[in-house]
Amino acid sequence: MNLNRLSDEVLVDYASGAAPEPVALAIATHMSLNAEARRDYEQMNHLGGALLMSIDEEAVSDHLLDDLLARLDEPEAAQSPSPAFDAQTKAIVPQPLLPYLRASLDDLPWQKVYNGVEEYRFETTLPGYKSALLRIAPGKPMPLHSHRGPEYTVVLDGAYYDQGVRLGRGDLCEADGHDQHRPIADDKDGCLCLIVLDAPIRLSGLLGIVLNPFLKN
Amino acid sequence: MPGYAESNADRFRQTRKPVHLAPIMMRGLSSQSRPRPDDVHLVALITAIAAERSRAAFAELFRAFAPRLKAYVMRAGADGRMAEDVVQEAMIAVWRKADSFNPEKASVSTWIFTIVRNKRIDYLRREARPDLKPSDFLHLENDQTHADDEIDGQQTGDSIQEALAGLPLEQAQVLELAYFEDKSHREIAEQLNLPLGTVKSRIRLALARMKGSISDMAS
Repeated sequence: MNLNRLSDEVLVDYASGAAPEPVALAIATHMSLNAEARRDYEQMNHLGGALLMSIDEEAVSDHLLDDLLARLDEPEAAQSPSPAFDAQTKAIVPQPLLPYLRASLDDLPWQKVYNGVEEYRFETTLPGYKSALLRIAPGKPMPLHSHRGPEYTVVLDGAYYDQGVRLGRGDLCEADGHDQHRPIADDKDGCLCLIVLDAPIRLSGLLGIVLNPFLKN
Repeated sequence: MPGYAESNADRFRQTRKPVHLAPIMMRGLSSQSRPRPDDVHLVALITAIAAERSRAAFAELFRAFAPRLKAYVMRAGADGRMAEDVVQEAMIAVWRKADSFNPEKASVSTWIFTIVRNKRIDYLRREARPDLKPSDFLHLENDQTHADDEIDGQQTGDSIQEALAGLPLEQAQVLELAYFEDKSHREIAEQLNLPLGTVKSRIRLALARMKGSISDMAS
């Protein structure tokens, strides 16, 4: 388990573009609030730029430039209007995460998971992954980690304690599914966090084919 | 999903020149490409696009980058036609976002890489790309300038180039599969039929070598 540090392989997954959307969301949210992670990301973009300049070129069609020049004055597609978020939501939720919320934090359809824990699940454009906001009351335990694979937690507000370590706003926990412990929300502020489960239904091989239907939510 | 700004170039001060990899031993990395344009000139082109809406500058930038972008998208599995569609979208984004490019903070090749990467995700995988944009930085509370940000850009570029050129093939291969073929570290392990831990350690060793050469320079 990595507390508040992205592993190199996850950083490369993200910077190369290979990370699936929900994982990319957790990482972008973390990086919005963590300068060190962003510097690491910038280095990895730098590497991408270097690799791009080294690639064997592929000749483009003769008409491609003319096609492009003819399109330059096209109006930009209008973006779908986002809800008018309240000031608290805008202060707490980093930009990459905001488009996934359909309302301000207090107006989301929170579902009670158990006493002291509420959840707002949302979809990304990539189906099959679980992504959710969790709101944990002060001093209450967080849900157990999933055993389906890697799981990412990013603290948005408040804090929680995990194995004696305090994770506050912007901090990230990368757990691999084998971690068997139960973090506790801060006993004064509680905790609001983003959680993302990576690759819940991508088992390979015969066992995966047998198990996959049961792993879908 | 709403569009995400590709310009995550902020605070990226390390490079102002493209990194030259040649000569390099990595499979698939060419030492035969024609000479790369000087980054000072590329920056001037982007400035001309932003300030004057110069189509001539755009056309020149296109000639410098479109064949690379097409190759990049094809390496991830697109056919030529699809790749050219993605190239068009990336170059239109360059045209529209040129005024957000900050030459103090990013090299042109790095900026364009982030744009084409995100367009590739959009068009080939049909996924949104959660990414940073400048307004995200308003959320930062303790964003001090670090000493290593002050390292000269060309030095950083040279050190990354050297580190890449000196990577063992097995480490370079993993970076190529990630950046060019859109493979996550788990997919790389499957493709190469290697234990996950082996792929992770190859990535870590490769990055340590690059980070090490940059911090050596800083000290």
